[in-house]
Amino acid sequence: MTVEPTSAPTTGVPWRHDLVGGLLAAALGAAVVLHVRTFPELPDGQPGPALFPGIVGSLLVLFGLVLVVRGALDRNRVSADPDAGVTVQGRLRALAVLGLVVGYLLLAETLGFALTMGVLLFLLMWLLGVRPLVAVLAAAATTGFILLVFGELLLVPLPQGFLG
Amino acid sequence: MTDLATALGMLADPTLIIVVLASAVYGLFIGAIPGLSATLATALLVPFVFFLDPLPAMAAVITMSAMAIFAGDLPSALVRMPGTPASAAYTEDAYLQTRAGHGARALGVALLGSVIGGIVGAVVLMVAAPLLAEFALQFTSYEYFWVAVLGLTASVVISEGSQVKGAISLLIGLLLATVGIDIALGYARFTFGSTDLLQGISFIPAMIGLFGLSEVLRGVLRPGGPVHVARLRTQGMFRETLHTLRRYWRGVVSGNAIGSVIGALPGAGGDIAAWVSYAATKNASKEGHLFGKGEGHVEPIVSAGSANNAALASAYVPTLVFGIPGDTITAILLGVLLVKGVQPGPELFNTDAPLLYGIYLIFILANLLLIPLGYLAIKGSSWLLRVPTSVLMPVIVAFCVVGSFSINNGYLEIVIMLVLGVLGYLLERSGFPLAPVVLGLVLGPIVEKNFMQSVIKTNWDLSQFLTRPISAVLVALTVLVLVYPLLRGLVRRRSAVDASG
Repeated sequence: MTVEPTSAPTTGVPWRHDLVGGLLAAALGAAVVLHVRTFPELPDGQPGPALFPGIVGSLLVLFGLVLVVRGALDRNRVSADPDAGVTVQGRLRALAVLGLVVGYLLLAETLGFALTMGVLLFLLMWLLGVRPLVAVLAAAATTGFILLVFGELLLVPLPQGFLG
Repeated sequence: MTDLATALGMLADPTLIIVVLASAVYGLFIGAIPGLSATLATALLVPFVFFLDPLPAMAAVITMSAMAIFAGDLPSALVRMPGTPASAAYTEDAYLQTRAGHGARALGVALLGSVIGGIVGAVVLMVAAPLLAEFALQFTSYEYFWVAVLGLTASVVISEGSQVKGAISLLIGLLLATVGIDIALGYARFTFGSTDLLQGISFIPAMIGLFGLSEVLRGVLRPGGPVHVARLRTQGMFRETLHTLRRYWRGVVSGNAIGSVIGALPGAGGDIAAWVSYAATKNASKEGHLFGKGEGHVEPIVSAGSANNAALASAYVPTLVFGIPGDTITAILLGVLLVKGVQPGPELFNTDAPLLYGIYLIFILANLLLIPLGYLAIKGSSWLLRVPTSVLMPVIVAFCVVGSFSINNGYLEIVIMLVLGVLGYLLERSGFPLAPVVLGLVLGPIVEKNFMQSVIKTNWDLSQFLTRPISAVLVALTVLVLVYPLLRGLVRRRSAVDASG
């Protein structure tokens, strides 16, 4: 089943990833620990809102540093490059996917759901190599399906934009 | 008895039947597309089930996931790519079997093995959940705190690969769970002035991002080339399948047992169950040397194929009894139930017995439905596999966007989905497992709430956490889970020394 997240390749990444990941985790933890010091205490001086995030932050610092040390000790290990097979086009495609979401956030209120999603879907499919006619049809069908199911059936107030 | 009758009456509801059939087709479709997991399918299904009553909502997720896990075997056998990670353990065997002309048998075994596994898992759920629930009725905030801690600990210890990375993933989830109003003083934490964030990180958009968007990002970064789809002859498939299952009945039994136990552990899903079952069968089998080589072997498909579906059902044991999800699918479902006002826990077994009977019956129904629908899917599998991902990926992104929005009709949810999508991709790319993030997000509030309630009512007398009898047992279990990897390492080292000496 499932569950996929646990099946992620959790070994074999280059040691630099452990180094960077560990440092980022430790830095995040340290920032949290510093920030929660400004939180109020319970009336009798007992720890309150700061306690739980404070513990989580401290543990992040600890495990982050452990990961850094283990990465450094294990720097000669043979590992697969997680970026192997990723081309410039691949990166552009991933950016285009994120662009669709950001574009929707920026434009949906003004242009409305149908126009924004329809155009963005077409552009993304076209960028991914779908023939223009197929892309137009697939984008229109998807937008229509969402309008019907979410807009009409589930009564989600999708943005109408200037057309509405 | 009247509860059972009520449950049966609920199953006759036409809405429920339509929901079950539609989610079955959806599950088969998503499961058959390589790279799309049952977790992703659940995350995308949630915006729909969000609008349903609790039983149809659970029916949709249960049916869909049972179908998706089986359907994951189709591309394994036909194009050597697991449809869902749960099929990865025996993909090589299934594909080699197809190449040797035994593809229909391999898929038939996968289908009936899944059905048997699903039904056995459901029986385990029916027997174990009420027993555990009766025991859990004695739990107070102390015990709940420890059960949640035990769940968190187990999710890290069983993380594949580095446990340090599993721990960091878990802490990220716990940290995300602290965003919003705190339980002790009502103080706004990590909201950075945003009133929308006062209610915390919405769980469902977070899941859609972590599993939906991140998977799309992975998919478009490394698109596969055109695939060669093998042909299948399904004549006499069931006869041959039954013969094979009779021959390897031990594999069916061990697969079901392993799947049922592993599924019930928090954070371990069917994919881990499948791997463990594969390894156990290989060790125990006289034909272990055939596994993954030559023509492939059907035995691992028998055992690991039943294990992953058995795990699917038993994951509902801790979910329903303690509110602690057994895998990422039940974690997402738990989020939905909580939003809908259904609080899983031992009281549910007294207060809402018809719902529980309904869930049990749905499991049986879904698995029986898998026989005809799975057969049709095997017949149509070569068509299913030709859906171009360049069309599918943008469509999934559109559903991620609209699905996140529809939970609260807000744009913040889309932003949460986007941020967690990128985070999920980066974490997996660097070898951090995602399951502990989900567990942290779900269990964080439970841990904190029960801890703070306990200490405030006893004026910070911490001894109660250790001296209550059930608490003490749970502490011992947690310690055992923590030291287990160390013990295992020691035993391995000892046996390696013995072998070399």
